[in-house]
Amino acid sequence: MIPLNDSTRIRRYAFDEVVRVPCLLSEVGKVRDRIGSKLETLGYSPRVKMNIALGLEEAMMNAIDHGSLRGQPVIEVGSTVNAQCCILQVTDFGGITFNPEYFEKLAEVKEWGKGGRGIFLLKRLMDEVYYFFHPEKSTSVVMIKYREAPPAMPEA
Amino acid sequence: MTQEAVDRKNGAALTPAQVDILIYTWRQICVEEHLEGVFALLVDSARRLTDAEHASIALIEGSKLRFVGSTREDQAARGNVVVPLGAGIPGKVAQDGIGRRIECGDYVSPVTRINAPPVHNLEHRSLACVPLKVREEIIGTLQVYNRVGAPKFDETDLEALQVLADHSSVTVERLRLQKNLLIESSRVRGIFQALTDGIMVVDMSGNPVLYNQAVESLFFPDGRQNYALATYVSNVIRSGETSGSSEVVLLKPHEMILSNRFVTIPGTAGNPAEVIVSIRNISDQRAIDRRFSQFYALMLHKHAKLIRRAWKQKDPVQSRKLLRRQKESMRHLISLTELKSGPLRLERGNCSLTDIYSKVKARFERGFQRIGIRLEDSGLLSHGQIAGRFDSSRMTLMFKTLFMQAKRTLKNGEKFIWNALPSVGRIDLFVGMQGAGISEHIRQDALDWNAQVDRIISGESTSLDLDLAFLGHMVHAHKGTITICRDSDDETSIKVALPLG
Repeated sequence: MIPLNDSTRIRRYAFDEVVRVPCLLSEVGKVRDRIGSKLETLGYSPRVKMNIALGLEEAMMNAIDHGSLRGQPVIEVGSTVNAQCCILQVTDFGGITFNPEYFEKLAEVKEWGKGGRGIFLLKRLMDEVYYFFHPEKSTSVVMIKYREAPPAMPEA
Repeated sequence: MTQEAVDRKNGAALTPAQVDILIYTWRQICVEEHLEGVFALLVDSARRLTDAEHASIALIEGSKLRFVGSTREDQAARGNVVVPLGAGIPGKVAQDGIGRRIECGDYVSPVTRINAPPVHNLEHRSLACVPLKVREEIIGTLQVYNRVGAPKFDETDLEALQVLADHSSVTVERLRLQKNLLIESSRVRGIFQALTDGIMVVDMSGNPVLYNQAVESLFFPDGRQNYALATYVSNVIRSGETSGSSEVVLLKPHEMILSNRFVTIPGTAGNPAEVIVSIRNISDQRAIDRRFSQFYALMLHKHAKLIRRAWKQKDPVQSRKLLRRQKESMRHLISLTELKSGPLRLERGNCSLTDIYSKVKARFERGFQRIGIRLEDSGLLSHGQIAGRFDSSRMTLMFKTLFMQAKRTLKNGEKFIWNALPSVGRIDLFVGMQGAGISEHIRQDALDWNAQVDRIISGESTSLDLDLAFLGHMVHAHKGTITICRDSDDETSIKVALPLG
């Protein structure tokens, strides 16, 4: 076991802002605009801003879709926007698990209408994408977009 | 009261030299950290206290008594002797806690007061053995052998030996416990390491307490900070659950799937203090889903071929047949896709299996008559209505698939038999097919599409027969079971067990 040397390394992440919004598509635009104005203030490039906005919209729509399947009234959006990166976490409380890897492959095959394109897009729009599934409780998607090119990651 | 007890009660004054030795010993024991060091100190003190040639210490381990320390120089060569409890003088003392001794070569049992028969080649002229006790529980024995310059150990020797034993047994037990705990802890850690790919302990603020090498490589490739672990830990702690499991898909850039289990450990005040997260990398296990993609690609390829053949087909009947096959296959594929893609989208409702069966049967009856297949279903229909909560469309598909399978494989005069065995809360359906070489057509691995894909990839087979594999998925989605039994070369039965609730 490794005792930690630098205790700041994996400190619990606290988002600068966490909001709960009703499971309504009309809420997507409001949250997107709010994040967008922060990005604007910090001088993110239009291309990065657009990627973030599209990613957020897609993730929120997925969350509303999944959350409302189980009758959940709200979804949660956590955000941290700083000069280095924008970190977004969208959580629905439907707790439905799925295999994003599979859906991504499904989207690659194309001509299938819906299903998987959201994940396919998120992966291309954002620099880092993680899914946390707590079955029957919640599903979170964490998306990170760096203001500049992301640091190169070695192959896992 | 035994003589020894009387002697102990009367007490015997320790000599100043013995007191000095005892005090010196306890001082030494206080600073000794290792159990073996305490053993060496004790046997040496016991020998000096009683002017003995040798001394030894033995501890109880289960039903045995293990000699763990001795003043003998050849102890290392002799190894640790182990005797059963009750065997020999130390074994008896360890069993009943009553001290024993050999005096002038004679042994008198303190229990029976009977002299043991003289043993001429007795190794010890004199011996004194006392129990080591912790809160009345015997943990071992301390013994001295052959009093120097005297035929037996006197009362003062025995008193000194017992005092030494009484005052050191707690230390021995404590250190032994500590040693066992260390061994156990190392074992548990080893088990954890073997069972998981990573272990991480964080406090309730998310600050890491410790984690293993695997976590380092899973989450900090190249030692760099990333947000995967930080946001995940935040999620776990925020959930407020005392225990639970989660699945983490590190889609980009790690391309890794982890299955995690977390447990919150309460502090001394009962409040949550730490969260232990065990992590397993299940990316390889998810290969089955990648296999699904392979299968999916194969199916698309098969569909494309079917359509090409249908287009080229000049005979409209054949063309329609091919297109029907393609449609059927596609319907199966879509059905499986829905099942595989997370939530099993079953739309359960109250429905009668008997009604569904009858409807499907009606569609196939004429075809069966034309071919000459003998349908025997009295074993099913005699039970009347078999009702439960099922997805009726999938149940229809199940019956259709089985009828299709029979139509394809059975010939004139061959039998298709349905039986049912209802019981409380479930129904067992037995679908028998009797025909020449039927077991070759319906293989036992037909339920495993993976095995079929394997055979195609390895070149052993060129075609997929996935009907029963689809059927298996539908049955499993209903929390049922399906098995294929080869009763003989000419008889195969498919057993489908379904819960009715």
